[in-house]
Amino acid sequence: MRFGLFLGCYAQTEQYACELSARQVLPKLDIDLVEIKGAGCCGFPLNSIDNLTWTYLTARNLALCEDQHLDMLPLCNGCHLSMCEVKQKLQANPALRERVNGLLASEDLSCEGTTRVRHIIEVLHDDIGPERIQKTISRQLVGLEFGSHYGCHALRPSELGRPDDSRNPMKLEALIGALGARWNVYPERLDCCGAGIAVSAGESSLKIAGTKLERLRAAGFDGLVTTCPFCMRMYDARQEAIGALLGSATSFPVFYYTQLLGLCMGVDQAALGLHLNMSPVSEVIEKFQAATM
Amino acid sequence: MVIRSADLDSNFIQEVTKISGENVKSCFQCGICTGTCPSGRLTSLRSRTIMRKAVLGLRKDVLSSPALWECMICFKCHEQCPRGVNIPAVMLALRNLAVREGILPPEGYLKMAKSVFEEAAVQPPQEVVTRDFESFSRTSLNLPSLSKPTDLSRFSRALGEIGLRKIIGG
Repeated sequence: MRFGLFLGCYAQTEQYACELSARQVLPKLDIDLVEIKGAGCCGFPLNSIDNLTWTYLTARNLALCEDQHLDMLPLCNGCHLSMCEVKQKLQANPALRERVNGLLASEDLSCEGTTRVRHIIEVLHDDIGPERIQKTISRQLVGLEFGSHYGCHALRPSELGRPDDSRNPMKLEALIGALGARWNVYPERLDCCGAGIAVSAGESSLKIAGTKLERLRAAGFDGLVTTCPFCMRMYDARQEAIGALLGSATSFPVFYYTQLLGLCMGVDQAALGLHLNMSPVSEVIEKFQAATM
Repeated sequence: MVIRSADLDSNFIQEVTKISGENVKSCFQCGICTGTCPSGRLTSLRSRTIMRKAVLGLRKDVLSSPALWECMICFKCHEQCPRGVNIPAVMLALRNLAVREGILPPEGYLKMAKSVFEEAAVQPPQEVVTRDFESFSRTSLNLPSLSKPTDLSRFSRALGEIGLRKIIGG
Protein backbone atom coordinates (compact mmCIF):
# COMPACT_ATOMS: atom_id res chain seq x y z
CA MET A 1 0.00 0.00 0.00
CA ARG A 2 1.21 3.48 -0.83
CA PHE A 3 -0.24 6.79 0.32
CA GLY A 4 0.47 10.47 0.04
CA LEU A 5 0.71 11.42 3.71
CA PHE A 6 -1.41 14.51 4.34
CA LEU A 7 -0.29 15.82 7.70
CA GLY A 8 -2.49 18.90 8.03
CA CYS A 9 -1.69 21.99 10.08
CA TYR A 10 -1.85 20.82 13.68
CA ALA A 11 0.11 17.58 13.18
CA GLN A 12 2.80 19.54 11.35
CA THR A 13 3.09 22.61 13.54
CA GLU A 14 2.39 21.33 17.04
CA GLN A 15 1.18 17.74 17.47
CA TYR A 16 4.51 16.23 16.47
CA ALA A 17 3.86 12.86 18.14
CA CYS A 18 1.11 12.22 15.59
CA GLU A 19 3.54 12.39 12.69
CA LEU A 20 6.44 10.73 14.54
CA SER A 21 4.40 7.67 15.55
CA ALA A 22 2.65 7.35 12.17
CA ARG A 23 5.99 7.44 10.36
CA GLN A 24 7.30 4.72 12.70
CA VAL A 25 4.47 2.21 12.67
CA LEU A 26 2.79 2.41 9.25
CA PRO A 27 5.87 1.34 7.23
CA LYS A 28 6.18 -1.69 9.55
CA LEU A 29 2.77 -2.75 8.20
CA ASP A 30 4.02 -2.37 4.61
CA ILE A 31 2.43 1.04 4.12
CA ASP A 32 4.67 3.37 2.12
CA LEU A 33 4.24 7.01 3.08
CA VAL A 34 5.06 9.45 0.30
CA GLU A 35 5.32 13.23 0.57
CA ILE A 36 2.60 15.21 -1.23
CA LYS A 37 4.78 17.89 -2.80
CA GLY A 38 3.41 21.40 -2.28
CA ALA A 39 0.63 20.42 0.16
CA GLY A 40 -0.88 23.19 2.30
CA CYS A 41 -3.75 23.78 4.73
CA CYS A 42 -6.89 21.73 3.95
CA GLY A 43 -8.93 24.91 4.44
CA PHE A 44 -11.30 23.46 7.02
CA PRO A 45 -11.03 26.29 9.59
CA LEU A 46 -11.64 28.86 6.85
CA ASN A 47 -14.96 27.29 5.88
CA SER A 48 -16.43 29.49 8.62
CA ILE A 49 -15.27 32.64 6.81
CA ASP A 50 -15.65 31.84 3.14
CA ASN A 51 -16.99 28.72 1.49
CA LEU A 52 -15.10 29.21 -1.78
CA THR A 53 -11.74 29.74 -0.03
CA TRP A 54 -12.21 26.45 1.82
CA THR A 55 -13.27 24.63 -1.36
CA TYR A 56 -10.24 25.98 -3.22
CA LEU A 57 -7.75 25.08 -0.47
CA THR A 58 -9.09 21.54 -0.18
CA ALA A 59 -9.32 21.05 -3.95
CA ARG A 60 -5.74 22.26 -4.26
CA ASN A 61 -4.50 19.35 -2.14
CA LEU A 62 -6.71 16.87 -3.99
CA ALA A 63 -5.31 18.25 -7.25
CA LEU A 64 -1.73 17.73 -6.04
CA CYS A 65 -2.55 14.08 -5.35
CA GLU A 66 -4.16 13.69 -8.78
CA ASP A 67 -1.07 15.24 -10.34
CA GLN A 68 1.33 13.04 -8.35
CA HIS A 69 -0.85 9.90 -8.79
CA LEU A 70 -1.28 9.36 -5.06
CA ASP A 71 -4.03 8.04 -2.84
CA MET A 72 -4.30 10.37 0.15
CA LEU A 73 -4.01 9.52 3.83
CA PRO A 74 -4.91 12.54 5.99
CA LEU A 75 -4.08 12.08 9.68
CA CYS A 76 -6.59 14.63 11.00
CA ASN A 77 -10.36 14.06 11.04
CA GLY A 78 -11.04 17.64 9.93
CA CYS A 79 -8.76 17.30 6.92
CA HIS A 80 -10.30 13.93 6.06
CA LEU A 81 -13.84 15.32 6.16
CA SER A 82 -12.82 18.35 4.08
CA MET A 83 -11.31 16.15 1.38
CA CYS A 84 -14.33 13.82 1.22
CA GLU A 85 -16.84 16.67 1.23
CA VAL A 86 -15.12 18.77 -1.43
CA LYS A 87 -14.55 15.71 -3.63
CA GLN A 88 -18.28 15.07 -3.57
CA LYS A 89 -19.14 18.74 -4.18
CA LEU A 90 -16.82 18.97 -7.18
CA GLN A 91 -18.12 15.78 -8.72
CA ALA A 92 -21.74 16.87 -8.29
CA ASN A 93 -21.34 20.47 -9.42
CA PRO A 94 -19.58 21.11 -12.78
CA ALA A 95 -19.94 24.90 -12.46
CA LEU A 96 -18.13 24.87 -9.13
CA ARG A 97 -15.48 22.55 -10.56
CA GLU A 98 -14.88 25.02 -13.36
CA ARG A 99 -14.64 27.95 -10.95
CA VAL A 100 -12.17 26.10 -8.71
CA ASN A 101 -10.10 24.90 -11.64
CA GLY A 102 -9.86 28.50 -12.81
CA LEU A 103 -8.25 29.34 -9.46
CA LEU A 104 -6.01 26.27 -9.48
CA ALA A 105 -4.66 27.29 -12.88
CA SER A 106 -2.37 29.84 -11.18
CA GLU A 107 -0.30 26.85 -10.02
CA ASP A 108 -0.93 24.82 -13.21
CA LEU A 109 -3.17 22.43 -11.30
CA SER A 110 -6.61 21.02 -11.96
CA CYS A 111 -8.94 18.89 -9.88
CA GLU A 112 -11.53 16.36 -11.00
CA GLY A 113 -12.22 15.06 -7.49
CA THR A 114 -11.01 11.55 -8.27
CA THR A 115 -8.36 11.19 -5.54
CA ARG A 116 -8.96 8.20 -3.28
CA VAL A 117 -8.97 9.41 0.32
CA ARG A 118 -8.56 6.95 3.20
CA HIS A 119 -8.83 7.45 6.95
CA ILE A 120 -6.15 5.96 9.21
CA ILE A 121 -8.82 3.95 11.09
CA GLU A 122 -9.96 2.45 7.75
CA VAL A 123 -6.40 1.66 6.72
CA LEU A 124 -5.57 -0.02 10.02
CA HIS A 125 -8.90 -1.79 10.48
CA ASP A 126 -10.21 -2.52 6.97
CA ASP A 127 -7.01 -2.77 4.91
CA ILE A 128 -4.51 -4.21 7.42
CA GLY A 129 -6.94 -5.72 9.94
CA PRO A 130 -6.76 -6.41 13.70
CA GLU A 131 -5.60 -10.01 13.09
CA ARG A 132 -2.53 -8.94 11.19
CA ILE A 133 -1.74 -6.26 13.77
CA GLN A 134 -2.01 -8.90 16.47
CA LYS A 135 0.45 -11.10 14.58
CA THR A 136 2.87 -8.23 13.91
CA ILE A 137 3.30 -7.01 17.48
CA SER A 138 5.86 -8.51 19.83
CA ARG A 139 4.40 -7.32 23.15
CA GLN A 140 0.89 -6.80 24.48
CA LEU A 141 -0.81 -4.14 26.59
CA VAL A 142 -1.76 -6.67 29.25
CA GLY A 143 -4.00 -5.63 32.13
CA LEU A 144 -4.79 -2.18 30.77
CA GLU A 145 -8.20 -0.83 29.77
CA PHE A 146 -8.76 1.98 27.28
CA GLY A 147 -11.64 4.12 26.12
CA SER A 148 -11.78 5.30 22.50
CA HIS A 149 -12.30 8.75 21.07
CA TYR A 150 -13.04 8.71 17.33
CA GLY A 151 -13.75 12.44 17.05
CA CYS A 152 -16.85 13.91 15.41
CA HIS A 153 -15.66 14.05 11.83
CA ALA A 154 -14.58 10.40 11.79
CA LEU A 155 -18.26 9.53 12.37
CA ARG A 156 -20.44 12.39 11.16
CA PRO A 157 -22.00 13.44 8.82
CA SER A 158 -22.71 9.77 8.10
CA GLU A 159 -24.07 10.39 4.57
CA LEU A 160 -20.57 11.39 3.48
CA GLY A 161 -19.26 7.88 4.12
CA ARG A 162 -17.28 8.13 7.34
CA PRO A 163 -14.74 5.49 8.45
CA ASP A 164 -17.13 3.88 10.95
CA ASP A 165 -20.79 3.68 11.95
CA SER A 166 -21.99 7.00 13.39
CA ARG A 167 -24.06 5.47 16.18
CA ASN A 168 -22.08 2.44 17.25
CA PRO A 169 -18.54 2.56 15.89
CA MET A 170 -16.38 -0.42 16.89
CA LYS A 171 -13.27 -0.26 14.69
CA LEU A 172 -11.07 1.61 17.14
CA GLU A 173 -12.20 -0.79 19.86
CA ALA A 174 -11.17 -3.74 17.67
CA LEU A 175 -7.80 -2.08 17.05
CA ILE A 176 -7.28 -1.52 20.79
CA GLY A 177 -8.22 -5.17 21.39
CA ALA A 178 -5.65 -6.28 18.81
CA LEU A 179 -2.95 -4.88 21.11
CA GLY A 180 -4.04 -7.20 23.92
CA ALA A 181 -5.64 -4.37 25.91
CA ARG A 182 -9.18 -4.34 27.24
CA TRP A 183 -11.62 -1.75 25.97
CA ASN A 184 -15.04 -0.66 27.04
CA VAL A 185 -17.67 1.78 25.87
CA TYR A 186 -18.75 4.70 28.05
CA PRO A 187 -21.66 7.17 27.78
CA GLU A 188 -19.57 10.14 26.58
CA ARG A 189 -17.71 8.10 23.95
CA LEU A 190 -19.16 9.82 20.86
CA ASP A 191 -19.07 13.34 22.30
CA CYS A 192 -17.14 16.17 20.69
CA CYS A 193 -13.71 17.20 22.03
CA GLY A 194 -14.79 20.85 22.03
CA ALA A 195 -12.02 22.07 19.70
CA GLY A 196 -14.58 23.62 17.36
CA ILE A 197 -15.24 26.47 19.79
CA ALA A 198 -11.70 26.80 21.17
CA VAL A 199 -11.31 30.21 19.54
CA SER A 200 -14.84 31.51 20.16
CA ALA A 201 -15.71 30.14 23.61
CA GLY A 202 -12.44 28.96 25.19
CA GLU A 203 -13.71 28.06 28.66
CA SER A 204 -16.68 26.10 27.37
CA SER A 205 -14.44 24.15 25.02
CA LEU A 206 -12.15 23.19 27.92
CA LYS A 207 -15.17 22.14 30.01
CA ILE A 208 -16.42 19.93 27.18
CA ALA A 209 -13.05 18.17 26.85
CA GLY A 210 -12.60 17.99 30.63
CA THR A 211 -15.97 16.34 31.22
CA LYS A 212 -14.96 13.36 29.10
CA LEU A 213 -11.62 13.03 30.91
CA GLU A 214 -13.35 13.22 34.32
CA ARG A 215 -15.84 10.52 33.40
CA LEU A 216 -13.17 8.20 31.97
CA ARG A 217 -11.13 8.54 35.12
CA ALA A 218 -14.13 7.95 37.38
CA ALA A 219 -15.05 4.85 35.37
CA GLY A 220 -11.62 3.34 36.05
CA PHE A 221 -10.12 3.41 32.56
CA ASP A 222 -6.32 3.51 32.26
CA GLY A 223 -6.24 5.81 29.25
CA LEU A 224 -7.95 7.42 26.28
CA VAL A 225 -7.02 6.55 22.69
CA THR A 226 -7.53 8.69 19.60
CA THR A 227 -6.06 9.14 16.12
CA CYS A 228 -6.97 12.79 15.50
CA PRO A 229 -4.38 15.52 16.20
CA PHE A 230 -7.08 18.19 16.58
CA CYS A 231 -8.83 16.17 19.31
CA MET A 232 -5.49 15.16 20.89
CA ARG A 233 -4.64 18.82 21.18
CA MET A 234 -7.72 19.33 23.37
CA TYR A 235 -7.42 16.22 25.54
CA ASP A 236 -3.65 16.13 25.92
CA ALA A 237 -1.99 19.47 25.16
CA ARG A 238 -4.76 21.48 26.84
CA GLN A 239 -5.04 19.16 29.83
CA GLU A 240 -3.18 21.51 32.15
CA ALA A 241 -5.56 24.35 31.24
CA ILE A 242 -8.52 21.99 31.74
CA GLY A 243 -7.16 21.02 35.16
CA ALA A 244 -6.74 24.66 36.14
CA LEU A 245 -10.38 25.25 35.27
CA LEU A 246 -12.00 22.04 36.56
CA GLY A 247 -9.59 20.53 39.08
CA SER A 248 -7.27 17.54 39.22
CA ALA A 249 -9.96 14.93 38.47
CA THR A 250 -9.23 15.63 34.80
CA SER A 251 -5.59 14.43 34.94
CA PHE A 252 -5.72 11.42 32.64
CA PRO A 253 -3.37 9.64 30.19
CA VAL A 254 -4.15 10.22 26.49
CA PHE A 255 -2.45 8.46 23.55
CA TYR A 256 -2.40 8.33 19.80
CA TYR A 257 -3.32 4.81 18.69
CA THR A 258 -0.12 4.75 16.65
CA GLN A 259 1.89 5.40 19.83
CA LEU A 260 0.40 2.36 21.58
CA LEU A 261 0.84 0.27 18.45
CA GLY A 262 4.48 1.35 18.29
CA LEU A 263 5.07 0.40 21.93
CA CYS A 264 3.72 -3.08 21.17
CA MET A 265 6.00 -3.29 18.12
CA GLY A 266 8.97 -2.57 20.38
CA VAL A 267 9.64 0.92 18.98
CA ASP A 268 11.63 3.30 21.18
CA GLN A 269 9.43 5.66 23.25
CA ALA A 270 11.07 8.87 22.04
CA ALA A 271 10.73 7.78 18.41
CA LEU A 272 6.97 7.58 19.06
CA GLY A 273 6.96 11.04 20.60
CA LEU A 274 5.78 9.71 23.96
CA HIS A 275 7.93 12.33 25.69
CA LEU A 276 5.74 14.96 23.99
CA ASN A 277 2.41 13.89 25.52
CA MET A 278 1.45 16.43 28.17
CA SER A 279 -0.94 14.08 30.00
CA PRO A 280 0.45 11.65 32.62
CA VAL A 281 1.27 8.80 30.21
CA SER A 282 4.24 7.50 32.26
CA GLU A 283 2.00 5.53 34.65
CA VAL A 284 0.54 3.52 31.76
CA ILE A 285 3.95 2.98 30.13
CA GLU A 286 5.37 1.77 33.46
CA LYS A 287 2.52 -0.74 33.88
CA PHE A 288 3.12 -1.91 30.31
CA GLN A 289 6.83 -2.34 30.91
CA ALA A 290 6.29 -4.18 34.22
CA ALA A 291 3.88 -6.61 32.54
CA THR A 292 6.15 -7.33 29.56
CA MET A 293 9.45 -7.69 31.45
CA MET B 1 -37.77 41.44 21.56
CA VAL B 2 -40.74 42.41 19.41
CA ILE B 3 -40.34 41.39 15.77
CA ARG B 4 -41.53 44.08 13.31
CA SER B 5 -42.21 43.52 9.65
CA ALA B 6 -39.61 46.18 8.82
CA ASP B 7 -36.96 43.84 10.31
CA LEU B 8 -37.79 41.00 7.94
CA ASP B 9 -35.74 40.48 4.79
CA SER B 10 -37.50 38.12 2.41
CA ASN B 11 -34.32 37.53 0.35
CA PHE B 12 -32.34 36.32 3.32
CA ILE B 13 -33.58 32.73 3.32
CA GLN B 14 -32.68 32.33 -0.38
CA GLU B 15 -29.12 33.47 0.27
CA VAL B 16 -28.75 31.05 3.19
CA THR B 17 -30.23 28.20 1.14
CA LYS B 18 -27.93 28.94 -1.79
CA ILE B 19 -24.68 28.98 0.22
CA SER B 20 -25.56 26.08 2.51
CA GLY B 21 -27.26 23.93 -0.12
CA GLU B 22 -29.79 23.06 2.60
CA ASN B 23 -33.56 23.29 2.58
CA VAL B 24 -33.69 25.56 5.62
CA LYS B 25 -37.42 26.22 5.19
CA SER B 26 -38.23 22.58 5.84
CA CYS B 27 -37.38 23.07 9.55
CA PHE B 28 -40.55 22.48 11.57
CA GLN B 29 -39.10 23.69 14.88
CA CYS B 30 -39.07 20.39 16.78
CA GLY B 31 -35.99 21.51 18.72
CA ILE B 32 -34.07 18.23 18.52
CA CYS B 33 -31.05 20.23 17.32
CA THR B 34 -31.02 22.32 20.49
CA GLY B 35 -31.66 19.22 22.61
CA THR B 36 -28.70 17.32 21.15
CA CYS B 37 -26.33 20.31 21.03
CA PRO B 38 -23.28 19.73 23.28
CA SER B 39 -22.23 23.36 22.92
CA GLY B 40 -25.64 24.80 23.81
CA ARG B 41 -25.48 23.21 27.25
CA LEU B 42 -22.67 25.63 28.07
CA THR B 43 -23.00 28.51 25.61
CA SER B 44 -25.67 30.85 24.27
CA LEU B 45 -26.20 28.74 21.12
CA ARG B 46 -29.83 27.74 20.51
CA SER B 47 -29.86 26.20 17.03
CA ARG B 48 -33.65 26.05 16.77
CA THR B 49 -33.92 29.80 17.43
CA ILE B 50 -31.32 30.57 14.79
CA MET B 51 -33.10 28.33 12.27
CA ARG B 52 -36.44 30.06 12.90
CA LYS B 53 -34.97 33.55 12.74
CA ALA B 54 -33.20 32.68 9.49
CA VAL B 55 -36.46 31.45 7.94
CA LEU B 56 -38.26 34.60 9.11
CA GLY B 57 -35.57 36.75 7.49
CA LEU B 58 -34.21 38.43 10.61
CA ARG B 59 -30.95 39.11 8.83
CA LYS B 60 -29.33 41.60 11.18
CA ASP B 61 -30.36 39.77 14.32
CA VAL B 62 -29.02 36.40 13.12
CA LEU B 63 -25.80 37.62 11.52
CA SER B 64 -24.72 39.72 14.49
CA SER B 65 -25.38 36.98 17.03
CA PRO B 66 -22.21 35.69 18.79
CA ALA B 67 -24.03 32.34 19.15
CA LEU B 68 -23.38 31.68 15.45
CA TRP B 69 -19.72 31.16 16.34
CA GLU B 70 -20.48 28.83 19.23
CA CYS B 71 -21.47 25.90 17.01
CA MET B 72 -18.74 23.20 17.14
CA ILE B 73 -19.73 21.77 13.71
CA CYS B 74 -19.95 18.36 15.43
CA PHE B 75 -22.98 17.28 13.33
CA LYS B 76 -24.77 15.66 16.30
CA CYS B 77 -27.90 17.69 15.49
CA HIS B 78 -27.68 16.84 11.80
CA GLU B 79 -27.65 13.09 12.53
CA GLN B 80 -30.87 13.50 14.55
CA CYS B 81 -32.77 16.10 12.49
CA PRO B 82 -36.09 14.56 11.33
CA ARG B 83 -36.12 16.96 8.36
CA GLY B 84 -32.63 15.94 7.30
CA VAL B 85 -31.27 19.48 7.52
CA ASN B 86 -27.51 19.78 7.84
CA ILE B 87 -27.69 22.45 10.53
CA PRO B 88 -23.91 22.95 10.85
CA ALA B 89 -23.86 23.67 7.08
CA VAL B 90 -26.49 26.36 7.73
CA MET B 91 -24.38 27.79 10.58
CA LEU B 92 -21.35 27.94 8.29
CA ALA B 93 -23.39 29.70 5.58
CA LEU B 94 -24.61 32.24 8.15
CA ARG B 95 -21.03 32.86 9.28
CA ASN B 96 -19.99 33.40 5.65
CA LEU B 97 -22.80 35.93 5.19
CA ALA B 98 -21.88 37.70 8.44
CA VAL B 99 -18.27 38.09 7.26
CA ARG B 100 -19.45 39.40 3.86
CA GLU B 101 -21.49 42.05 5.65
CA GLY B 102 -18.44 43.21 7.57
CA ILE B 103 -19.14 41.47 10.88
CA LEU B 104 -15.72 40.26 11.97
CA PRO B 105 -15.38 36.67 13.20
CA PRO B 106 -13.67 35.91 16.54
CA GLU B 107 -10.01 36.97 16.44
CA GLY B 108 -8.73 33.38 16.27
CA TYR B 109 -10.30 32.89 12.83
CA LEU B 110 -8.63 36.03 11.47
CA LYS B 111 -5.26 34.91 12.79
CA MET B 112 -5.66 31.50 11.14
CA ALA B 113 -6.79 33.05 7.85
CA LYS B 114 -3.84 35.46 7.75
CA SER B 115 -1.41 32.67 8.48
CA VAL B 116 -2.91 30.53 5.70
CA PHE B 117 -2.48 33.44 3.25
CA GLU B 118 1.18 33.81 4.18
CA GLU B 119 2.35 30.26 4.98
CA ALA B 120 -0.44 27.94 3.79
CA ALA B 121 -0.83 26.71 7.39
CA VAL B 122 -3.00 27.97 10.28
CA GLN B 123 0.12 28.70 12.33
CA PRO B 124 3.90 28.50 11.97
CA PRO B 125 5.61 25.41 13.46
CA GLN B 126 5.59 25.77 17.25
CA GLU B 127 8.33 25.05 19.73
CA VAL B 128 6.78 22.56 22.18
CA VAL B 129 7.76 22.14 25.84
CA THR B 130 7.43 18.67 27.33
CA ARG B 131 6.17 17.69 30.80
CA ASP B 132 9.87 17.52 31.78
CA PHE B 133 10.36 21.11 30.56
CA GLU B 134 12.46 20.22 27.53
CA SER B 135 11.93 22.16 24.28
CA PHE B 136 11.50 20.53 20.89
CA SER B 137 10.97 21.75 17.34
CA ARG B 138 10.44 19.96 14.03
CA THR B 139 14.18 20.25 13.41
CA SER B 140 15.28 18.86 16.77
CA LEU B 141 12.83 15.97 16.34
CA ASN B 142 14.39 15.26 12.91
CA LEU B 143 11.07 15.79 11.14
CA PRO B 144 11.15 16.95 7.51
CA SER B 145 10.55 20.66 6.90
CA LEU B 146 6.99 22.00 6.78
CA SER B 147 5.13 21.12 3.63
CA LYS B 148 4.02 24.20 1.67
CA PRO B 149 3.27 25.37 -1.88
CA THR B 150 6.40 25.34 -4.04
CA ASP B 151 5.68 28.92 -5.14
CA LEU B 152 3.85 30.84 -2.42
CA SER B 153 3.28 33.89 -4.66
CA ARG B 154 1.27 31.84 -7.16
CA PHE B 155 -0.69 30.32 -4.29
CA SER B 156 -1.45 33.79 -2.89
CA ARG B 157 -2.52 34.97 -6.34
CA ALA B 158 -5.39 32.46 -6.37
CA LEU B 159 -6.44 33.46 -2.87
CA GLY B 160 -6.27 37.11 -3.93
CA GLU B 161 -8.61 36.33 -6.82
CA ILE B 162 -11.23 35.03 -4.37
CA GLY B 163 -10.98 38.38 -2.59
CA LEU B 164 -11.24 37.16 0.96
CA ARG B 165 -8.18 39.10 2.01
CA LYS B 166 -9.96 42.35 1.25
CA ILE B 167 -12.87 41.34 3.46
CA ILE B 168 -10.87 40.34 6.51
CA GLY B 169 -8.07 42.87 6.10
CA GLY B 170 -4.33 42.28 6.47
